[in-house]
Amino acid sequence: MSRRLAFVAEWYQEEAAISKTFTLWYYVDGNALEVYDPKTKKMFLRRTKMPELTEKDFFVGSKINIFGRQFDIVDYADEATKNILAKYRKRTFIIIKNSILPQLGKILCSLVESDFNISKAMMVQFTAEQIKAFLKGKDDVQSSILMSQLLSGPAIGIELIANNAIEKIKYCQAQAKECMNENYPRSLRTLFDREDVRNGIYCSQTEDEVLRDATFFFENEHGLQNTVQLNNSTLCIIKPHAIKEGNLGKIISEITANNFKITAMRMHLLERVNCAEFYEVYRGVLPDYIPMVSQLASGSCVALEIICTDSTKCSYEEFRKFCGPMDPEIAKLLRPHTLRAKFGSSKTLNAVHCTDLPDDTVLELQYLFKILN
Amino acid sequence: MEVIEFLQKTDYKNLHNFIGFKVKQKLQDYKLDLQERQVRLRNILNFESLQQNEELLFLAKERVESAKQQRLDWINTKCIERQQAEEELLKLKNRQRELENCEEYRLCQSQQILVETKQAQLEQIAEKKALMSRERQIEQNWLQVMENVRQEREFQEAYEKKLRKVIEGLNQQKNVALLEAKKKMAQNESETLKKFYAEDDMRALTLDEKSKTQQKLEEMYKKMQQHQWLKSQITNNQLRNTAQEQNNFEEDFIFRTREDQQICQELDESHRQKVRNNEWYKLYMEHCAKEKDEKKKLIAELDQRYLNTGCILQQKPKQPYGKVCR
Repeated sequence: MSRRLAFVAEWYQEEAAISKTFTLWYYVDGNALEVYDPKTKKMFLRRTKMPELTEKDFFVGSKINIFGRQFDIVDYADEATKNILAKYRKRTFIIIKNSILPQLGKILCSLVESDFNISKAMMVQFTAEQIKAFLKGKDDVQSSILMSQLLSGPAIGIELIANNAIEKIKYCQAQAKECMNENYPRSLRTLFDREDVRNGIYCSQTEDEVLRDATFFFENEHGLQNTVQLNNSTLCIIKPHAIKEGNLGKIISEITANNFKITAMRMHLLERVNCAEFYEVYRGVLPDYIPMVSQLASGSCVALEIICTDSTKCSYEEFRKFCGPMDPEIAKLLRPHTLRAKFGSSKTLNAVHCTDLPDDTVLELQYLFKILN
Repeated sequence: MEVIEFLQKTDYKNLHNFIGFKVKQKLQDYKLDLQERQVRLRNILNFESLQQNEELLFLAKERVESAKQQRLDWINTKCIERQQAEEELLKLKNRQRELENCEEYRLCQSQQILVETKQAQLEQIAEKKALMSRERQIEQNWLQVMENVRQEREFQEAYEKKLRKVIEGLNQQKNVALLEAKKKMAQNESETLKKFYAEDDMRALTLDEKSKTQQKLEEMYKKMQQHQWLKSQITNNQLRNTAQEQNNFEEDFIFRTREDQQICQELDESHRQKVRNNEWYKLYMEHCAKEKDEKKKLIAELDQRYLNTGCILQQKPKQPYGKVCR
């Protein structure tokens, strides 16, 4: 019999403005999903294969996109799942400070290689008051340094999920002896061997702290502002398939290595309606409109605001050129050094979306960074 | 009061309509804008796809041309190589011919060949001699060896004969003693066996007599027993037969009486029925006669009533006409 994970999930039905509770069953071996409505005692979705989902996507607090519907996993539905997952799948929260933002790609690469799952990410610019609120109840010496570091420029907050996530990052950062243990991922150890990285990453030390920091950062109560500039900038969306293939860090490294700068970043789990609205301009223009929408809605994507380091150049044009033709097959032939040629596999799975209309850059950026906020 | 209410209502309606109108207008604008954007996007994408097609074509053409060029280059290099090889071959051949044409060289060559052949012949003769001497030596060795073997065999045979004679002389006496002992043993054994068999025969005879008398007694006893069994069987059978006969007689008697009673009853019944039928028949006949009389009377009355009126009172009912009826 195949292994089954059971979760309690909630779906917010917009038309009725109520959130409904469901039981989600994920069959690990068959990569299949079943949704049961306990209220009506009826099957909501029969056992269906979902190749785009993996075991890593299922944990308490994750958001899962099933045929365009976003299900928020709120609890474990049985003891077996709780015993299996609650022990190992832990959340942790890190802040990548401004000083090491140019190495964001490398950091993400090594995190992904070390089996860390990125569930949330956002680039913000702290104000002094926000930092004070954030650092309330923390060590004074540490907080004063952190305060100055966070005030110096934008920082990226990332929620990570992995087995013993807190311990792994904590020991690596502290260069503790436990870190030398062979069980710890090598790429993570090599990453934290560098002093600038150790200084440039803040991580929560306990589970309570993780919860507090993550809610402070991602629940929009404290008015944290994202750093979107909307001036000679363009939008790049790293598509869910590229993130699932573990190419997020590589793509960001490629972008930063080719005279582009990331000025804003946010991880989204878009609902199908939002995806359709976002791609509205492509309806009737591209024949792959529907697969494009379903790809974007199939999981978490990362939205980036990108500017050219050379301010005289047009970011939109330069970045579009850098992304290459929409079809990766053509891109591989004509522009083998472009992003889509390197990371894409088909017209819909072409790794990144970039703004195609020059007038739409602001519109698209606003949609992803302000309207959906 | 009513006027104020009316004005308020109209104001509200106006505002509502105004907002609706604005929303509609905005949506219209958005639609138009979207369409415009779509057109622009389509143009951009079409232009790009055309450009990419051109580039692809160019690339393909370039590849084909480069392949063609490469092939040509390869053919040219191969041609040049072949030419060079031909030239070299020609040079060699010419040199060879020149050498062959030179008389002194040819003489020298023939002399050299002659010397070489003579040397070879000498070497061959020496080799043959060596071979002959070797063969002779081997043959001699063989002969020596065979002679040695023959001598050894002769010596062995003589020694064996001597040994055999000595052994035969020693063993003669022992063999005679053994034979005698064996004979004695056989005699003893045969005597003991004879004694044993005689005793056994005697014992068997006595046992045989006893067994015969016992068999006779047993047979007698068996016959007696069988006789008694037969007697008892006969008496039993007689008793059973008499009882069965008596039973049969009783049963027959009961059956007969029952049959007689039944026959009597049936006869009685038939007689009674006959009497009843006769009476019934009489009554029925009387009734039929009465009915006939009454019918005749009625017909006579009818005739009387309709006499001389010209009415047809009795008519034969129409017979159906058809193949089936016929």
